[in-house]
Amino acid sequence: MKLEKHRFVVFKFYSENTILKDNFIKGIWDSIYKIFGYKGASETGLWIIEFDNVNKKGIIRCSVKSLNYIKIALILTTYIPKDNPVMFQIVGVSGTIKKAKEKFYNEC
Amino acid sequence: MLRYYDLNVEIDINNDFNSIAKNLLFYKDLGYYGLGIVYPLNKIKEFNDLRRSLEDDKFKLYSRINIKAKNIQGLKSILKNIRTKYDLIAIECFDINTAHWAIQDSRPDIIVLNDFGINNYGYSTAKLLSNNNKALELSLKSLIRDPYWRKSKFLRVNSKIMQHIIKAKSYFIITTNSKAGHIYYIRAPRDLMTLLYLLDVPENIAKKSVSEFPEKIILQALDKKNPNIISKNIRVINNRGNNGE
Repeated sequence: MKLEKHRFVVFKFYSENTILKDNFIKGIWDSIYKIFGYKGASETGLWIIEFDNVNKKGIIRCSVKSLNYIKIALILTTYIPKDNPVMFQIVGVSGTIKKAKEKFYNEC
Repeated sequence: MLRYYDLNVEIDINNDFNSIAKNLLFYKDLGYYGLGIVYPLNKIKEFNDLRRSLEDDKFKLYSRINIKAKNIQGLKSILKNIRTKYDLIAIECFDINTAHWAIQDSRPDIIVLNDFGINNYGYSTAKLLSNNNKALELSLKSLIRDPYWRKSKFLRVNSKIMQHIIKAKSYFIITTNSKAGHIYYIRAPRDLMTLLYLLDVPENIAKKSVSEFPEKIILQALDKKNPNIISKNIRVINNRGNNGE
């Protein structure tokens, strides 16, 4: 069986309050379900690699096919949890985790 | 390096200077180069102060007025006096004849896509925009702020219009800020480009909508505002007569 190719999306976020990793995971999955449905969500292969709520940045892994879905879901996430406004910004996308960290994660 | 623009930024003019400046500098952090700031005519002095203190080589501010036009006569009387006072003039129309008149007139720069436009603008309007070098402004605030059932309607109706716009090769610009309630409703320019994927806009055209198209609109508008430029390619280079020489 052919291995699925992945992309690593580096993002940063702006929020007045601290966001816990569990809340972030729930928020991003909610956003994916609402925009692309269960079928779309099943194709994403979403995995949280890094989430730093002090420096407000993180890395998520997704399949190549669903890269745009994941970017859109992140951009359209406006509240995590329900009463805390949040804004995500995509910093960069890379094919390897090493490059993602060197080029984008450590820079932002 | 590309320069990114958001030409519809509405700020609360009743706020103090520091809070307005902080909000605008947030745009700069997100990667914007130029902003069109909506300002009333009686506060133009405050706008100039703001411009003087915030502008540098990497950040520019342009004054903008939004006009709601219900008929051609009303629009004519408003446009008569304001061309030289604002950098950008945006028209929101509620009648197809007024919209077509506004597109063909030389003074307006931007036609705002509103609920009326969504239902009535077709390929002919898009072609008219293209022939007259005017831009259609599409606000993505509904996609970011509205509930999900309204987002799906937004996608359905706007993707049709975008197909007309792309086919007619006319300019369009995208914005998020029109009356943004919270600063976190703003999105970075590259993120706005990604959102256009939902409207089936190709990536190269999406990129132009936040960089090349707004830049062209600004350059055209500044030429119109300049009293030395009579019309395209006709410019006053020496006004000796005014000096009595």
